Amino acid sequence: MGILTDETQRNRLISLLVKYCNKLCALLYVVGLIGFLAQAYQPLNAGTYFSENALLPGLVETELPNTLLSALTYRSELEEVMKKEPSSSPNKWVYEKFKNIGLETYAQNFSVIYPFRSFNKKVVSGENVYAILRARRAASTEALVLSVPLRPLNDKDNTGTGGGIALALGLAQEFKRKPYWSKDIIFLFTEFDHLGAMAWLDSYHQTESKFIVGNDLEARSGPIIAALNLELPLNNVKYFNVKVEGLNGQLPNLDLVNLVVRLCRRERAQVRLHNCLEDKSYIYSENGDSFDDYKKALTTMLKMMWHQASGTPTGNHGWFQKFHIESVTLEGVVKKRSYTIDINTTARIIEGVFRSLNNLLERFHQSFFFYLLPSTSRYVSIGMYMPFFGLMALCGLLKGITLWVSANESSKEVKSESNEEKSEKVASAEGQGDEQSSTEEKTKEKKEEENKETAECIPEVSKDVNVTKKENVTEDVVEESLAGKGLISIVPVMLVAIMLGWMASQGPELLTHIMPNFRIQTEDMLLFSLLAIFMSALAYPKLMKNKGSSNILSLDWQLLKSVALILQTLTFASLALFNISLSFFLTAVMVPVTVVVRPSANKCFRWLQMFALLLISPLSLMYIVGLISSWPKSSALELFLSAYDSCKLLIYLGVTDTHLFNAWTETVMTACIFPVWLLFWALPWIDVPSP
Amino acid sequence: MAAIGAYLSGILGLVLRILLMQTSFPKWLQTMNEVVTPVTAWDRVEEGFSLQKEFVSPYSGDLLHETPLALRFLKTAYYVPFGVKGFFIMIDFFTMILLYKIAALFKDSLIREQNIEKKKYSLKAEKLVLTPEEVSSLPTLILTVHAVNPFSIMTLLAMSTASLSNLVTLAALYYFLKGNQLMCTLFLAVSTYQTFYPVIFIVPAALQFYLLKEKEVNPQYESSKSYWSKEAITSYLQTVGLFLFFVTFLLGISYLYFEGSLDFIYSTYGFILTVPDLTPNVGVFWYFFTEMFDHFRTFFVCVFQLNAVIYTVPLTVKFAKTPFFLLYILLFLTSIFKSYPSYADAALYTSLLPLWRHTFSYFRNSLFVGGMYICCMVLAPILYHLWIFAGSANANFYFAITLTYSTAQIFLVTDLLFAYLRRDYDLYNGTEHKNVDGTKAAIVLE
Repeated sequence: MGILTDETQRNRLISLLVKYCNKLCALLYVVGLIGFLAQAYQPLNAGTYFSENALLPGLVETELPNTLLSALTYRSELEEVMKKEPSSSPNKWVYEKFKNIGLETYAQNFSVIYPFRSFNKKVVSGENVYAILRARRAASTEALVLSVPLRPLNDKDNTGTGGGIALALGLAQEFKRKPYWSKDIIFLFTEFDHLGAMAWLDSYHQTESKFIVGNDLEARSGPIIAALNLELPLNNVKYFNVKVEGLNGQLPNLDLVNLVVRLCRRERAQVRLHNCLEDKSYIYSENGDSFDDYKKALTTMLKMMWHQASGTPTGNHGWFQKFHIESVTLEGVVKKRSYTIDINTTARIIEGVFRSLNNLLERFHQSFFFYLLPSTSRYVSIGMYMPFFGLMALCGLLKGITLWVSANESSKEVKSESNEEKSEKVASAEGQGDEQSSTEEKTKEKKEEENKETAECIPEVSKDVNVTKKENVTEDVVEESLAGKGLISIVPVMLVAIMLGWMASQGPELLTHIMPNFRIQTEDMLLFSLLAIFMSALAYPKLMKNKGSSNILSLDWQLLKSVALILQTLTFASLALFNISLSFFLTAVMVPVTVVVRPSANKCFRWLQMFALLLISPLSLMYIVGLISSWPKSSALELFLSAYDSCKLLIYLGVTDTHLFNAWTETVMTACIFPVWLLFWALPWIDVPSP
Repeated sequence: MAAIGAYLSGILGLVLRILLMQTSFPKWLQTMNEVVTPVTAWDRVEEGFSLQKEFVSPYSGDLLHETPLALRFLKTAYYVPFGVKGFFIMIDFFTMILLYKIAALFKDSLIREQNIEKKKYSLKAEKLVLTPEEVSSLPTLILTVHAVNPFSIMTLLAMSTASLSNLVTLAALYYFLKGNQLMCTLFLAVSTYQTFYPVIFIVPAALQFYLLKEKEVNPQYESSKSYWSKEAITSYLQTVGLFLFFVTFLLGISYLYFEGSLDFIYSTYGFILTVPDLTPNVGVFWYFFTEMFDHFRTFFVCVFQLNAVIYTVPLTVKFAKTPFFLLYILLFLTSIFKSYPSYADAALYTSLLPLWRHTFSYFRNSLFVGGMYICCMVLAPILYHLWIFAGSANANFYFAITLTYSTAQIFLVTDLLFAYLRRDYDLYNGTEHKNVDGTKAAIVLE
């Protein structure tokens, strides 16, 4: 209990803290940031390894024929079918083929009701096809999923997945003959990518969604242990991308990622993360410590973090993770006229993955769930990156605590004076004869002493406190009530911030309910409504100021800032638990500004602060994200315009994802980050008399 | 003036609760282990009703852990306007009234006791002496704190039946302060009957009624009469006797109500004492006993249960003169160490915490403790989600948070104890402490 009860020690600590706060904060931030980014440097991170011994990757001998003829025929058949009807996905054909193979095959209809009354696509309906290969050695108690999205040929935004479909058919035919399966294998083909996957998963687990309504499934298997999602075009696959980022920043167990990567390597197929080429030296951990290697690794890690931060899955695997199913996507990237990976190799890889998964005795639990990948074969675990993130976050917390202490001391100062006057009054009112004079003398002495002490003790308390002390003489009553209230004085600001945050998160939905049908696109409408809320929120310090007398915002800015900083740290810390990347980027961008910002008499400085705060406001951050995602453009104007478009799309997707899939990014930004930011926004508006 | 403030904050609290009841928030709260425990879940009560309807004993199986009379009483919830929601809002309304009255009684007793003791106070302690004006706002303050207390709001929204037991405990506190021995022991008995742990509150109650009697006989109350004198023992026995009578009475009625079956004893008190349900909650039991080998279980259950009540002894020795403070501390400690604690217990003691506002200036760790509380409230659902739904975290994450929560509570209660003792010390020795050589001295609790 030493530190909790021993006052002298604590006071020493606090005075040290107050003295060196700014330097310490800067140091913490810089060390944290550099330390975090340095994790990509090869000597600082670790090579991946298998924790789960049951997987035994690559130990079984492949039982596939050298050339998987069936897959090749399926591929050419599919090519013809899709060319015939380039605008529809080949569900019927897939269904028929699976029936012919002799598996239990079912179709599931689903419809999606878009939120916000989007006119053109109000209800979308589609059909999933799935086939279950029952395990011979078990009673359908566990299942594995091989999922392939069905995409029509003329889908411009996405590459085709024909290769995956053909492969799944070919593999199903082969797998069916094998006696060794101890887990059911479900071949799942989903229409409209994520919508179909979500509908099927919802029905499989009998959860209900308001917007995606799927028919009941005719048959199901046991709990799904793992899923592999394939996005393979028909031919000319140059290399694979392994995609891991899931919903709300969730990641699959590292063992599964390792498994896929290891088996790709075994078949001499190139595997990358987000198209980042890796040097052999880095892969096999030979001298990967040159600066070039570091740059490459850092790019890979940042790309991975960038995708994770969005909170939207990079592929269909993400929706499985929502149901506690470990899953990754294997994407084939096309490059013509070069060495390509043939379909047999891919088939062997997938066979290997499924045979390893077949060995599992328990759910994935051994390896990491929280990690960052600077390459496919290196990882940064939570134990490595969290401390450095903690340092960055601590910077804000430290400043907050320091401000709290100094705010408390300044209010105590005011309080003690008023208290003494009161006690004098009490003493005189009681009037206990002889004692009275002596007590009065004593209190006077004490008062003088204390005044001296307080003056000596707290030279660090900033100038404006001294000013309030001077004002104290004239406006004694007002000051006393203000100081006494303390926390209560900042309650109105906090309430307004919370209300505005609530409006920002609920506003778009409410507005679309109330508003008449303007003929504008949903994307525009969402952006404009958010913009309107944001603009009105910007004015709130001004409005609160004009309400009463000249200066109603004369609240204790130190207290406000300290509460805001503490809340900000709490938000980032809890965000870091489920989406470290988002939290890292926000901390890296917001903390430097929010720690520095303070009321100022200097107009120039004040405007500068406001500009900086605007720059880190959630909406401008969104725009910056749009800017970065559409970076290489020929002219600046084009860049800004396309950034505007992608920002709009981003917001639209964010809001709809919240409704359709229960994604949290939008809610976090509007209901948590935005109110906290508003607290800081009030700071430069507070008047302080010029020194 | 104060009355208007009280009305306003009362209305604010009720409106806030009614508004929040219309959202989807209560549904989520009802699934939160921090708010609802197997003993207090409303779902389970409803299951009990339907079992009764089918003429099955509600205590067959491991479903219902309410006491029979509470179950009977809760049935009235359906006849209140606006149904169950209206019932719980009504309970909260009564809670507010009781809190207000308790605060009003408490501030009077505070001033009264101060007036008796004043002569002994140090001359250097005038700053600490309370004036009636200073404490006059106490009832309004208590009411305001309750109105915005997130713990009590969550408890109410989740429709935890603990709000009923809290109400009974508050009634006991009210009559405790009022000096009504009969009613106080009655409500203590009801409270004990409901949740068992309040059985230790009989210690402060016995002390209180003895002291009150003493004061009547001897208003100056100068002589420090022995706590083991003949009169004292008689008084204790009287209080305990009344209490036991009421408890037996309640158990007897329950026995008759269930047509001569004692099944409910195991389902209620057995459930509380032997801790068979290890669903995670904010307490210290669940994690420990999931790890425990079965043959040690009995021993450690005894140790843990003893831990919940053992502090009565040292605290009684220390605070025999101030039974109400003793009662409050015991209330606090049982809500930390009981077998199925929830935010409902926190709601009770945090709403009452401002009663000790005069000691707040001696608090050392308010920021630290406050931060811990807020962190726990935010992180607990997140870590639970990561553990149960996302599957990426594990039980240790959530346990860490419940441990932090318990630690925060312990810090708060030690802080309060320390502040109370420090203030007491300062009252008798002055606010300034000097060493022998005249330098300023610091007081250290060791």
